[in-house]
Amino acid sequence: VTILYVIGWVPALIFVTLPIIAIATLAGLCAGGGASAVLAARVLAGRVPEAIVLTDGGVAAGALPYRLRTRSVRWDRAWPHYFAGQAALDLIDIVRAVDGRSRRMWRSTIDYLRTRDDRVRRAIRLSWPVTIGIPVFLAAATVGAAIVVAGIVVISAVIGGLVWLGGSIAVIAVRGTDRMWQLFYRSEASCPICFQVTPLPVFICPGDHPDDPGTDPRWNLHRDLRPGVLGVFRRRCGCGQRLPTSVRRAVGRLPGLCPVCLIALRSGAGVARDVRIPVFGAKSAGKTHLIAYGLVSMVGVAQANGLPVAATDLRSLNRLQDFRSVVDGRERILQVTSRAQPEALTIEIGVPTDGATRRRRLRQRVEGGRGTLVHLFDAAGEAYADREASASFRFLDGARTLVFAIDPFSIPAVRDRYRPGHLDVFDEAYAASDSVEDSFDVTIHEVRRRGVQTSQKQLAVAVTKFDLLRKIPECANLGHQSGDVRAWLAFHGLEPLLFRMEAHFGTVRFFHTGVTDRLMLGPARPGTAYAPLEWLLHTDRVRLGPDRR
Amino acid sequence: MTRTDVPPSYRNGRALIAAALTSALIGCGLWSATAGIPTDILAWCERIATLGWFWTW
Repeated sequence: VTILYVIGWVPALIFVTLPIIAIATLAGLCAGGGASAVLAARVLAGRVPEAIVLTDGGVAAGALPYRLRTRSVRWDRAWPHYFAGQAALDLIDIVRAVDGRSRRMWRSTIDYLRTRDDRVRRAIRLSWPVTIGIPVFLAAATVGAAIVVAGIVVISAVIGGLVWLGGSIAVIAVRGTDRMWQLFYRSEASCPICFQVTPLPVFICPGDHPDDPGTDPRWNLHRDLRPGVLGVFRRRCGCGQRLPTSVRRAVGRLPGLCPVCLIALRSGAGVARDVRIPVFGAKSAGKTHLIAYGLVSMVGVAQANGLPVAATDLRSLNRLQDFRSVVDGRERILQVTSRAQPEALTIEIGVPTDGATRRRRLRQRVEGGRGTLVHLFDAAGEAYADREASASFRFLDGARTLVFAIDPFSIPAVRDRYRPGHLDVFDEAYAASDSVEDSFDVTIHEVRRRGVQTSQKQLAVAVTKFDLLRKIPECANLGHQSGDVRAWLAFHGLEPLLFRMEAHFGTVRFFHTGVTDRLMLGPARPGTAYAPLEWLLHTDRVRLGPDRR
Repeated sequence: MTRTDVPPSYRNGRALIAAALTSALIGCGLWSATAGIPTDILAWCERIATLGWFWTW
């Protein structure tokens, strides 16, 4: 019986089974491939409800598999670029969907066979030359689905690779342009309160940001708005607002904040040239008068040369008006600087647009960039001789240029030599009580202790109260050149201090300033309070008038 | 835009992938047509259906 059974099935095997296997294979491949393509299309069309979506909230929670520049900074709440994460998740969804459908297909077939009664199952077993087409179809469908999924993965990887390549080039170009701008124009932003200097301000999204329990209440802040995985040219905030993705494009359009204390930065901070000039020295050394006359002169020179000038904040505006009153002779005494809070007086100098020729206008624009912010820092003199108080003067750290004010009447050798014969002059001078050397050494020691490289900074040494000093006949003929002033200081016993200054700083120049004499107010005249400022501005490539050098 | 929506960049990225897949499919179809593969498959099916494969085997 067995032999007859086998002989009977041989023709069936040849004429039925093999064609069925061939047709089932072809049909299975087509069905599996087609079904995979449909599933992939459904995932890409967003029609799969259980699909994983990388949201802005997920980004803020750290779902992106990339490392941030610093661990302390969190990811901003914004939608990432599709190819930064969602493309991979979509591929995973496609694979899962196809895998699930394939498993379900096998399971339902097996379950169907299991649930049949014994008679049917026996009939299926006996008719295997025909029913073998079912597993062949299922296997072919699985292989067809796998082939299509592999194709989708390869094509997506190629597209993703090309997008990443192009995106990376664009990111490097935009970030590089931003950084080059900041290096060329020296335009890192500085905070008016904590004096932190940063190339990357925090920006506020102007969109609507309702409270979202469980997340950062300040999710409107973008701490790193540079191009990257959250967008190459534009970024979409979690609120849906589109934001520009570079500091140069964001400044002026979005309000900027200090990344440390989240205080509002001045308008233009981050792209405008940022010149920070702290004036330090002992109490009553004449720092505030030096700043008053220097600032009023600086504004006058800029305006005389057609440059738009404005105070950036109310405090600077009020202080500038006070200074003008003193310089014009309407007021005699300047308010003493508060010891508690160092003062930053900020003046914004715009870019001229009055060039006679197109070439000249272009040159003005290139030289001026996006304007200049000049900050003059004034702090109470007592603090400079106090190590603890001086340690809090962070504004000294970020400055490329500094002014050290020396009251000549506080120099012991000057006092010993001239005081007996000129008591009236010394009484009028109201000489600084703290030592010149202490006020310099304590301050610079603290700055260097914080790791600041003073050798890359410029120091202008201003010998103040020259209008009084010249009433002493032996000092009346003091020359205006830096060498003359240095020699005078060295002659009066400050040679060791001068050596230390020259050892610590990149460049040191010496000036004398007669700040209470109205006749000495004016641009680029030796002996004016503006002279040291002009030199320091010049080293920061700021020219307010025609070059006189 | 509601919180459950996806941004346009996602839709654009998916459209790009879909376009690339469609292009690849059309490209494969055109290439196989040029190479005569559909004709071969049809001929093969015909031989199976008429058992021609058996007589010429």
